[in-house]
Amino acid sequence: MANLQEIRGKIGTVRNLQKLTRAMEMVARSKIGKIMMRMEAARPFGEKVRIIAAHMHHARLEYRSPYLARRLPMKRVGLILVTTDKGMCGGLNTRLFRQVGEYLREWSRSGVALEACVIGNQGLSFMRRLGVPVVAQVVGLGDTPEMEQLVGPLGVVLKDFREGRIDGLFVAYSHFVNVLVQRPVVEALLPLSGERLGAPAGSWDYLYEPDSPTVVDRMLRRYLETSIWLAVAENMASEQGARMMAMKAASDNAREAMEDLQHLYHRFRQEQITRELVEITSGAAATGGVG
Amino acid sequence: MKRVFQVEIVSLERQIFSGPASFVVIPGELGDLGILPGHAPLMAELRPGWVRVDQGDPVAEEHFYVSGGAVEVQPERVTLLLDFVLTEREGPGREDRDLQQARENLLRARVSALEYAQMEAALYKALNGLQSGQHPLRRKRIR
Repeated sequence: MANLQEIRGKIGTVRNLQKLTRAMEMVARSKIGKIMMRMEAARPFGEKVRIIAAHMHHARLEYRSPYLARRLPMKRVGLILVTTDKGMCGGLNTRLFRQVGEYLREWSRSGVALEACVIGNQGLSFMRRLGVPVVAQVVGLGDTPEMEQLVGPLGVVLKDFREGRIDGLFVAYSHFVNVLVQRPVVEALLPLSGERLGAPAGSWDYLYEPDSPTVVDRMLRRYLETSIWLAVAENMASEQGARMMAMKAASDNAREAMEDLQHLYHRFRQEQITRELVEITSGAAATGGVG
Repeated sequence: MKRVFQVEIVSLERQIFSGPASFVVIPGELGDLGILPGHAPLMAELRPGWVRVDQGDPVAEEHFYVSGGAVEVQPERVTLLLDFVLTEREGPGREDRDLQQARENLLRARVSALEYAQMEAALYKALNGLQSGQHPLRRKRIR
């Protein structure tokens, strides 16, 4: 009897778990739509800023922006690590950390110092564990990327670059391919590279108002900020996508476990009934009541 | 038929306007810029103010309030990249209302005179920044 109750209890637990995972799957499913819409909405802006930045990179500007500085070989680099705040999204962060780890190993092998700017709780504990100095951090971004929350921390690393404390800036995040596939990427943001920017449509110089240093610096900064914003947005979409899949798998597993338990439960119950019947019939036979 | 060019107004949040126009007036940092089709390539920072878009014939005008961003002018195309935007309906009156509301809230809240003065100073500082475009890189969400 105790056994039967135990199994029933277990079935209940698994059922509750499944309710939870299913709810989380639904939540992720609804959130991903919103985040993808925001990403789509930002695309024209991002594209335009990229094209202008590409032009500035290629054009022979009379003014050399500190963002266009090239200091090789790099002695110290900054890494902006974009991760999720919460877990429960499968191996999303782990895969990103593995990718980042390769870069970290390469840098430490060639004697390149590192400082980190971390977005998201998971990345913060990762960097702390490794003992990498974290110069800026943002946690608790919620479900929509806000430029306001990113400008401050990004400003810290950009200032370090402008003032020569770091010679390069990298960004690591989970690239959103689609709901099923997310790919960890590490991209070089600074110094600006033609590879990332793409080729410009043509070559010309602009008239600037108020003056070229102001306009060029602000435009390049706008480009960098937008790049980070987009990385954060992609990471958020990846998070929800990964969570959706992880929670769906968990729900499926829970259903399987429940089926197994149900099976076990029926077998035990049937066994008990059979045993009771045997006891009754053998009892009746012993007293000679039957026949 | 008037000459027209393509005008695009985009922010990080959405595309605000996209269409042909025969003339635009843009609040540049050093003053208003009137741009006609065929203008030389120009890049300018924006100050807070109204953008006017004349949409060829028949003459139809659209107005947008912007408070910071940049504009890229090409002979065939004008692109405004906004860090922050209010559409016609919302206009600059909104900030005044917000300021009024904030003042009242401050009065109602129980704070010492010093605290009040400090808060008011901070408020004005922030507002000043918003109006003079001192923080064109700060983007604020609308609504």
